[in-house]
Amino acid sequence: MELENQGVDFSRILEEFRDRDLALKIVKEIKQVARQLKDKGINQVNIMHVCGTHEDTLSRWAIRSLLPRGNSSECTVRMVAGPGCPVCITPVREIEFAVNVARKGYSMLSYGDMIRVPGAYSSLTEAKLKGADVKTVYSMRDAIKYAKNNPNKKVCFFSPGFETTAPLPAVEILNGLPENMVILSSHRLVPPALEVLVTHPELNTEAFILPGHVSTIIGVKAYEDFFNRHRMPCVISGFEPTDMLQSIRLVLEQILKDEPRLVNAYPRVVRDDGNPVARKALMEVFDIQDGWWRGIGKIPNSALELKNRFSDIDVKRIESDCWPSESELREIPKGCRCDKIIIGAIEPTDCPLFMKKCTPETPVGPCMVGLEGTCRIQADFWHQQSL
Amino acid sequence: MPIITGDTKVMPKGTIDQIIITTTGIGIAEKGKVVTDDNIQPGDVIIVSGTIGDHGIAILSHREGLEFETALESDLAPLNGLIERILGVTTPHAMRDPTRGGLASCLADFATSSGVGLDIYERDIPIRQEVRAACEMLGVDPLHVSCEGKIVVAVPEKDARAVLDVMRTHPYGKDAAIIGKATKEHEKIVVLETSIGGRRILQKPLGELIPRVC
Repeated sequence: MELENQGVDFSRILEEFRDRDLALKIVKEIKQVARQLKDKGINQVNIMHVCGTHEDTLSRWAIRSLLPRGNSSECTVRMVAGPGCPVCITPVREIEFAVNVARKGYSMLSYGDMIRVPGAYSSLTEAKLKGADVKTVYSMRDAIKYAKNNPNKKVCFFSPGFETTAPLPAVEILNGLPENMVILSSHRLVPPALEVLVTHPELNTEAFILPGHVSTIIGVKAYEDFFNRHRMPCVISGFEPTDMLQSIRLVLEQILKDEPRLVNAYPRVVRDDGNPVARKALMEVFDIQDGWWRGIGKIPNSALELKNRFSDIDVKRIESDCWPSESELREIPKGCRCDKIIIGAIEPTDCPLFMKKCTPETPVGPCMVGLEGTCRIQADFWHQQSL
Repeated sequence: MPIITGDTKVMPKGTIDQIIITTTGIGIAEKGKVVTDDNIQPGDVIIVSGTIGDHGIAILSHREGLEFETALESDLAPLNGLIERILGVTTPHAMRDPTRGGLASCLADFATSSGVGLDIYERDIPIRQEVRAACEMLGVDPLHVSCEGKIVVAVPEKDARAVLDVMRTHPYGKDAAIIGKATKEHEKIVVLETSIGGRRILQKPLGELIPRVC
């Protein structure tokens, strides 16, 4: 709340990006472009975002209900949720590994939804019920505090997340961890996943809305190669309702003019070269390696693994006998369609388990467990499309 | 008809090792004057007695160790005086406290019990700026956060103005506001018009997003 002390009212700044008149004005502009697109013979535009917070903004403010739904004079604008939830894409091998490490006697600390997410046949919650020391923390700071207060325990922090979250553990690691603490890095990078998505046979998307938080770290430049290879409209967006509406409008205009561009529509936060301090910390601590993504498979150069010089805090190396055997791994539970939902090929409502066998109280698939998961968010705002 | 109330509590194993204070309410209900939540008619107006979420956020921010510029205090208050004033003007078609599950739960119950649809306008719902800010930091929806000193009433449209006036002259109702109305459309469903004009279904909070705060 330091900003308030300097006479800046933080909450008022945000209000401007939530202005009803401005939002409705952009909606009007979107509809106008949708009519022009229809005149050009385009019936539907599919725009994919790859961020759980974008999905939350779309749902919370009911933005989909304001977008053109297609009729004889305007094209449909469909927002597709891509792989944007770090918990949902954490591969089962790493979850089962964490369970085995916890069973071996480590205190396993992570975020709440990470602890609940099911692996192939177990979860950290289950391990906890059977006596393992598993704890929810709100940040890595809490984990460090726990390690300091419990010097006789071996403490492991299970660290998921994209470029947005990874700099925090990087900085803590550079500052030095308590002696009894190790790290399970499950960090993933967004641009390599975009590359895989765009060539996926089931992808049904003409444009991307890129994640503002991730871009804050990696910068606009990080997408240039991707954009130059595929020439699809790419707009980096913020998280307020007018941010997203504006980004949707920019995408539609590019499609109308047939002039794809890479646009930074979140310049109040995102810079061309991102946050160099955070990126430097990342590169000092992690190597970029191939990584598994749940529901997608192995993506080249998409995982952050601890460098050799940090092997003494890398639980993946220290407890290498805890890896589950390959044959035991089933990425997606039986009947669950999360593999298709993660890449935006189908909607949660197309899954036969959604809100029947699979609910927020009794989740079956990863997308219902992760608080940023597409199914979890759809469950909160169920039926929104029918209005 | 005599009424005796009680309170049950679910607590984690090993935490009931100290004195626990519980309360019991005793009273007499007057015949024909009992207001439940199943009599809302299309056209009725929905009124909330003041800002929502104060209690839940005060507890939550204390638990999470958050400190804000303005001290957030629970809205805990006795509501009998305020309710008597309302009863002096009209007989509400529904009345309830938005405690567990917050305003969203209360409205969802109104709609299902009475078999009507509700149209609620987000921008008319009174929420303190600090509560709004804290909700954003904690990632919770203020409509899901509990209140301890508020009531939600549904009254016939013709009495709405008078009810609002008497509520606003009472200290525990000074921020009372009309937040929506009942409709024949979308039976048993609460539709929230978001403050930018989108429309979505408002439902009870799911899962365990919010720690139990009451």
